Amino acid sequence: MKNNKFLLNVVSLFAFMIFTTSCDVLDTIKTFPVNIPITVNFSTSGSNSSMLQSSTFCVNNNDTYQEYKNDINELSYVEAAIRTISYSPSDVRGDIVLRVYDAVGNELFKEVLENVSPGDYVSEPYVIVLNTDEFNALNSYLQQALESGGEICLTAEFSMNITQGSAPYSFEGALDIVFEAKTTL
Amino acid sequence: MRKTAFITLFILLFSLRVSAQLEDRFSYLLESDLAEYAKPAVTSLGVGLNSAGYHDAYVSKLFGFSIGVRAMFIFIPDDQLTFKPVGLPEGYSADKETATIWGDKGAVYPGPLGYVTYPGGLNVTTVPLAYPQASVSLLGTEIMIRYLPEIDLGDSGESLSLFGFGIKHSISQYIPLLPVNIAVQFLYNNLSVTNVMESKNIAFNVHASKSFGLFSLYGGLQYETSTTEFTYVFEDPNNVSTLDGTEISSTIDGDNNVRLTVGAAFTAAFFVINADYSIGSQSVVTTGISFEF
Repeated sequence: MKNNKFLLNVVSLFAFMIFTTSCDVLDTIKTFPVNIPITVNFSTSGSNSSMLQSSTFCVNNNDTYQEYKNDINELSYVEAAIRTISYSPSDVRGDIVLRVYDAVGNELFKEVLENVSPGDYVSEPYVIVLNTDEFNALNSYLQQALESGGEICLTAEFSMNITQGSAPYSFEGALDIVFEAKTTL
Repeated sequence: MRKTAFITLFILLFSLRVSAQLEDRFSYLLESDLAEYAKPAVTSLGVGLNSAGYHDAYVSKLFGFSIGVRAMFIFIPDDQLTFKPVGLPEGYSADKETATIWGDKGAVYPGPLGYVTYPGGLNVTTVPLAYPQASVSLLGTEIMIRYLPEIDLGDSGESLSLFGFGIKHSISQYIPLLPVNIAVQFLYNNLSVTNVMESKNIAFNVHASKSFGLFSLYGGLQYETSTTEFTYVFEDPNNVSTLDGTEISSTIDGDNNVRLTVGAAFTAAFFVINADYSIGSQSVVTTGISFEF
């Protein structure tokens, strides 16, 4: 009788351990983070030493986002970089400014590269480092837009003030930005 | 009976989730990176399915029968949570590690074509696994069977199945007055998810046990292998590869090799409870409960 009680206790403990640990693991693995890379291209040319172009993009138009859209419960920023595709003249230098706004025009973050050559970012894109306020503002906007169920759009404004090199100028580049969507399967 | 139902349900749930998630994650990887991404999972399957082959080296010379469930927790070492990618396009630098299937976040790599992103892992450091098994012994030889009928994994048409067997033979029966029981065992286990993966696991062990009343101690040394074949269609989320849409079939070997096991069992009437710990490429704690005579 004593042995049976001991056996029952051990079996109960055994079942409890399996149940609790297994449920923890199941809870963990039902969340699937998906990286969503988006590229926003810029192309500008002319003789004016001040070039400006803006482009609006919507995260929810991305194919990967569309694939998981019904299961996404969190959307956040991961990393962004400025990349040069082509430029002329070859000795051109200038101040590059990138600003990113939310759908109603609030500035979310800004990156300024002073007196740089676009050629430096052809093979090695410039990775943008957001400060805490910018990071929080961007993530807050993304999450609010996700929860509202509407479009999740951002506007990227690229400007370059030429400080060296002869006209005509041309620049083709991109803002590469990665978001993370946490999905529940 | 309720416990067996729970275990079966757990296997079904775990497999359903892992299967769906494996497919999603694998589809973002080329074969070269899949090998490193999935290897810890292949190893875990090998560790899990090559476990729980024995809790006693005694084999009945007349007739014996056992039926029960085995459950285990496999511990994933830190160095199997990340890896350095090798499949990045030209011009990209693998300057940081990304998650394996058991790791956490997938890394992103900037380069001349935009970002190349890697899938995250399941973010677990302990992997549970459970399955039913039964055995029959006769004349000093035991045949063990592990079996799960095909379990439908949902709308995708995939199904999970498990089949395994083991043959164990008593060595101590040939050596009179030996103070311990000694046996050798061969194990084969096959776990498959149709159109996604098939895991084949083979093990050979020598084990010994000694009884002290209701308790017994056991231990063994095992050589084992694990191989899994994955089939999937590569989907490039970064639009930088020319192989987007290619069907990939890849065979990956786990890091399974040799393991040392020590454990104890407690017998009460027709029930046996056992627990053991194995040291190998991944450590594992195995427990089991059986009805046997």
